[in-house]
Amino acid sequence: MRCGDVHEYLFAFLDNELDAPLSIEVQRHLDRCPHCAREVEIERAVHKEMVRAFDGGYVEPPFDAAVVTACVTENPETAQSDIALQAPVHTPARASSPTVVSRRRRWWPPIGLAASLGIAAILYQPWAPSPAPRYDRFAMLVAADFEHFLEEGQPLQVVSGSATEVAEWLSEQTGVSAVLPVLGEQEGRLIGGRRCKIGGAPAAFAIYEIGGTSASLVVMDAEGVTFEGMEQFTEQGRRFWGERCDAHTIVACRRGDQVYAAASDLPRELLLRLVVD
Amino acid sequence: MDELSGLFASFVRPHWRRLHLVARRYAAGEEDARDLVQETLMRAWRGFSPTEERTYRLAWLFVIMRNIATEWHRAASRRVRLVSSCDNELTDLAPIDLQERLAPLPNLEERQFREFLRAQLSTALDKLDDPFREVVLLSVAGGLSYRQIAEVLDCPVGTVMSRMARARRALREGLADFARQEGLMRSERS
Repeated sequence: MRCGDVHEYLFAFLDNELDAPLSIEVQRHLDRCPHCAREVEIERAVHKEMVRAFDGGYVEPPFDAAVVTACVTENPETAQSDIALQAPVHTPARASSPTVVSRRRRWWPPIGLAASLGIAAILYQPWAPSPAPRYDRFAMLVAADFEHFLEEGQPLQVVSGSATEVAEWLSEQTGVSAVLPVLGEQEGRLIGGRRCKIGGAPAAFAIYEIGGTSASLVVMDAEGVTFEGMEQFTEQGRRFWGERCDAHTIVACRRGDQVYAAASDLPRELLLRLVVD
Repeated sequence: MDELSGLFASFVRPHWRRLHLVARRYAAGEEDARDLVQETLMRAWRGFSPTEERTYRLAWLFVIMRNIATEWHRAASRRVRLVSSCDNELTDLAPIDLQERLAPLPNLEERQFREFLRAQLSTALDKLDDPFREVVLLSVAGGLSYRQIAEVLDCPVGTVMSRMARARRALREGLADFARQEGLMRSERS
């Protein structure tokens, strides 16, 4: 592969959008071409700053179950609709939805107040303000860690789609040697990883995106880990444990002297992909 | 809240921040951005169906958001900053050789380079043409893959790949121009 070819594929390579054979060819060129390797480093730095430029320390409004509840209450029908995937809409929706116009602005504070007064507590407890829960069970610890990751706006410490690169970084940082799954193009992609602790023990944390939904994979030493309270099930001749915690699906298994546990809002069947060998 | 609406809320919650980050760039102000997110959620709920896989996809939410932004732009009812179309992809945009070398940037040590980027990147991004800026926005702020972006923009994945490459090259050109203006590099244009 020549330098010109790498220039053409450079950004798709950095975005992990190339198929594996092409990606490998590009990487081989980078291994022997210091100029192109330097360009990759520059563009990685530019990408990092782009993330910062878009993010800019912005704090989004807190996710409020009552916000969604309001949407649901106002539009209780669930008729199939092709609105979303049609070409640009020709009929302004506001004209056909006077309720939308009347609710246009200034509803955030009263709804937020209503939520804090207990609508969310009554209707959807996981998001209601509550005393600190007892995160002493493994499943709850994993769910809490995933929740923390979501709320913090993705505080990743290594951003890469390369399972090898992320696993190496995690091994150096946590002492945990994880074998991260490589997903097919249709399945999803690895986003990155960070150090974390589960129940005080160091763990490797990797984040994936599967069908547009985040899913975490935590790998740690199995010593002292029990799957208390989790449902045991068998899949592909292997034993797994699963549970729904705080609206998240948790799936776990033992692999040698390690535990692999995944957390997401995805169904169990999709999440298994991350913990299966 | 019944099971269906709980399911919908579970679907939306992980994307909450991304929806706002992107809405801020489509709409012209914070309040319009929040309204854009609100409207997006309401329409998404109307179309949500647990038996229809597409309605679980992040790209679907951004298709809706983009449609709304387009409506607002056409109705001139709100200030919308970023509305592009795939139609003019190959005709209006200047041809560019993607195999050419990228525009050189100043050879600074790491910290200084980072500071240079931090100072100039937002302006360089704002100067990109809308079609370029939108793919970058959807990728970086929206966290979408090229395939998802293609779904949002209703165009082939190859178009997204080409547009992304051109966008990032244009960004490099913009940064190089800044560097020359700042005297960090010799001008190549005499």
